[in-house]
Amino acid sequence: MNRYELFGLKVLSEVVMECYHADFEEPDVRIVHGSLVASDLIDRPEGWIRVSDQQFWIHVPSLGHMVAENGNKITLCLTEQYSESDLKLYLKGSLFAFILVQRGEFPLHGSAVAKNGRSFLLVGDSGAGKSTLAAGFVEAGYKIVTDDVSRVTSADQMFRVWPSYPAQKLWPDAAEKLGIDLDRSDRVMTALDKYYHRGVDRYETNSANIDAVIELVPCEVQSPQKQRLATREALQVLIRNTYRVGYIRMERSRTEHFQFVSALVAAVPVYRVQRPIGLNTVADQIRLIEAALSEV
Amino acid sequence: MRNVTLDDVLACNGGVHQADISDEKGLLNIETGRYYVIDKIGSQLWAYAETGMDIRSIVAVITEHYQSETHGELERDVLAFFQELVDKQLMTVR
Repeated sequence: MNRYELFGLKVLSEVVMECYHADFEEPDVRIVHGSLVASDLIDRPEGWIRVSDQQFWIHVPSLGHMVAENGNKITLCLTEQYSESDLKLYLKGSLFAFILVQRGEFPLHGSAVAKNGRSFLLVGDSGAGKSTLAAGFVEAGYKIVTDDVSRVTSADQMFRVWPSYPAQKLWPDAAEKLGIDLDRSDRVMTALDKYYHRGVDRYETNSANIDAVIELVPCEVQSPQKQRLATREALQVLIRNTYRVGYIRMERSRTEHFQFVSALVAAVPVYRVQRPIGLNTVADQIRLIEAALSEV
Repeated sequence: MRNVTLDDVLACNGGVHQADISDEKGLLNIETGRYYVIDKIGSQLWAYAETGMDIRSIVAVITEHYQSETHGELERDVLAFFQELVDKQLMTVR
């Protein structure tokens, strides 16, 4: 049995996950092997997802069937030849994100970096350049709090982001631009040309207070541009970047989500940074973002 | 759609949830699934409406703050604001 701390939650897992080790008596979340029974559990070559009030079912052909339920348990019914790397990806990504949703939270889709107690949340569409920018921040002395799923919680109108695990997923060309040597044997997913980059000193193990949300947008601009977003646009950005926001359907969840993003926008400035397509301007983007923080 | 008049008293629609965002207001219409933000001035007008004042009284109260506008212009702007809220099903006439 493995004991981990993931996003500030205590996890007791029958499966090895590359996460921070922890000591505790009672877990918040259990991950177990089991057999799953459902009348309509079928295999489809493309996989499927089913979301109900307290259950998130996912079928991935290279893995088998998995279900996250009640915010405290993940049951795995895996095929014989399951892919370990695919399993870890889903466990630490979608499955855990849904555990957070079941616990009443609204994780955001994005990375977070921190230095000297100040942190930024980096959001944007896939391919916007978030992971590349996060790696660039590390070269500038920051640490990565989380790479993909951002667990954001609030207390007293302050918002904090929680540490995930000490690895970041990078595309080979992004790694090359940043001068990072990738271990090509450490693939994120069998079907994807993306690799894990590890290195414990690059990662922040404590939760951090969020100072700004940065939306990264690739654009036809000559050089990076930044703009502080007005309330309406800021709300849209946070809604758009809520993890699997399309699945928040029930009325209670929609209003709670609304209250959450509204409070976040009221407390934390949101900036849009437009970055030129096809150019490496990570250093300039970082300069712009740091300058924004001194305006706050 | 119903036309809003100065005698009308408006109330927040049942399926609408509010969130205060600094001096602005976020609104979620559960039925349509749409989000809106009203600015500082709009939020003040909304707050007056929720106390049960009719639109004529609201115009009278805010007249002091907007001395650059004529009374006619102010009435027209406030009516237009509340008309839009009714059209978007955020408020209804009581």
